[in-house]
Amino acid sequence: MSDSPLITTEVLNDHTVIARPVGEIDASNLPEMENILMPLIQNTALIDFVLDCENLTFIDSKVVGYMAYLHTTLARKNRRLLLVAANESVSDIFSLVGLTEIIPYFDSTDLALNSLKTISA
Amino acid sequence: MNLIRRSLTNKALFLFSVLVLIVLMIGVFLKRREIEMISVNIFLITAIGLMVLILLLFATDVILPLNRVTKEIRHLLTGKNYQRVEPSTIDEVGIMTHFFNEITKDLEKISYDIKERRRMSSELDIAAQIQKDVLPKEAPEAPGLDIVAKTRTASEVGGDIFDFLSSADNSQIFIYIGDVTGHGVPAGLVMMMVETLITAIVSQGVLNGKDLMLNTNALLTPRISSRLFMTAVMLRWDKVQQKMYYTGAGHEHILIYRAKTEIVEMIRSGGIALGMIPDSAKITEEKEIPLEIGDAIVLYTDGITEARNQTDEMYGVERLQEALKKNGYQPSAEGIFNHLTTDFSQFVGEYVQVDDITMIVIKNSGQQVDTSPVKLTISGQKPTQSAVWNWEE
Repeated sequence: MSDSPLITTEVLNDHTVIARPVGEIDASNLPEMENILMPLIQNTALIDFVLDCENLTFIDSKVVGYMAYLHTTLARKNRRLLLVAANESVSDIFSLVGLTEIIPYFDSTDLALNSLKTISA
Repeated sequence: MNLIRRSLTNKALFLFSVLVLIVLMIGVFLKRREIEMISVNIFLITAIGLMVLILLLFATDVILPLNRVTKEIRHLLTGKNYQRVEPSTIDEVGIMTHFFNEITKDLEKISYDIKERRRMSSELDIAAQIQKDVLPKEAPEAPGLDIVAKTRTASEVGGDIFDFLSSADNSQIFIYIGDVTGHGVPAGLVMMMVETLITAIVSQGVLNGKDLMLNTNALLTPRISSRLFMTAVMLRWDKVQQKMYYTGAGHEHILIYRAKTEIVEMIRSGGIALGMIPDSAKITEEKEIPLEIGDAIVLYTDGITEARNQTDEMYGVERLQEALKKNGYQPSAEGIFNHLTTDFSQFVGEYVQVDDITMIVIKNSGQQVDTSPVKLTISGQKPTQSAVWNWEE
């Protein structure tokens, strides 16, 4: 069992969060990720959530389900979830399931943040 | 005083000390009164009286509580009804009484848990049977196609499904495979909802896969949590034109073995998983899979591709693709299926199945093939571990 955190979060400004999940996430450790993200989701001052998947190596359908739930929950309050930089196998799962049809996907965090600026402007 | 109450030894010492003290006091009293002699009778009566008094004290404080708790322990050990004993002392007997009460409380909880587990297990068995009953018992009459499909759940109730349905006018055959998020009872309930919806919509006269998937999705989405969804591929075999079509709903790749070139094509199923968004019309498409005689289609769920071996390596779609490439030439769907299963089995070895597993093999034989019975296995009173992976376990 690795001691490294499953997900790190960084609040960039008053309303943008970058969350960086690490390693393999599946049904067994998904609750841990949910617990970390929960207070951020409940903080309504935070509008944009960027999920940087660069260091995510595996997800299962439960995690995809959670991401869909996250998107739906945020979208109901006019908040946004953006997916960023998944490796090949993870981005394959995103696109196979159709997640990228409902959640915007970007190749890098900068591109995602720039898109937020464009939307805000 | 507490020191005396807490220990039987201290109690006995205390009572002995009281006895000695009384004897001494009597001795002092007689000496002061200068009484040299007392009658034997008075001595005996006094001595017996003192003994009885001490015995009464000991009986009340030790023997009676001890008898009460040992009686109940005896009842417990012989399977008779027992009762909680109220501790009246804080010595060893009191501790034993408290221990007895705690043990019996735990036993009652364990007994309740066992009964509850039996009840749940029985209900799960019923649910598993209901689920098994909705799965098809044999492949449909599909001129030109040879079909084999099998499923195995990771627990009593599974989230994988496949079915074969004839359109209302009998001109089309719908063949689909589906996989609900996770497994177990929640997945099983969604699976049953989807199966019911699809069956009902087909019976209403839908004749193409796209409408079937869109209607199913529109009815399903508002009825399930946004965390749950089902990926699926719907194949439609046009019996008249002998053409195959597919509509994807965010499922795994479709593998197609080409007999002529002996290569395996891997195509994205496309679309979006059922239950994710209320209207998936813009994303959902029905496309043709051109099939020639000898070609074979393999549909599967992620329980196969995400299965791991002892070194924690995943089986993956590439291995499945490679196994199909080697064995797609087999003359029957059953032959291909068995070879794919063997390859999978050899890879996973003693892997413990953690997800539901389903696979369908369809061979375009180009001729009438007797309908093949679809072997079903609803396994899983517990996760399965076997030296050789087997659908029938």
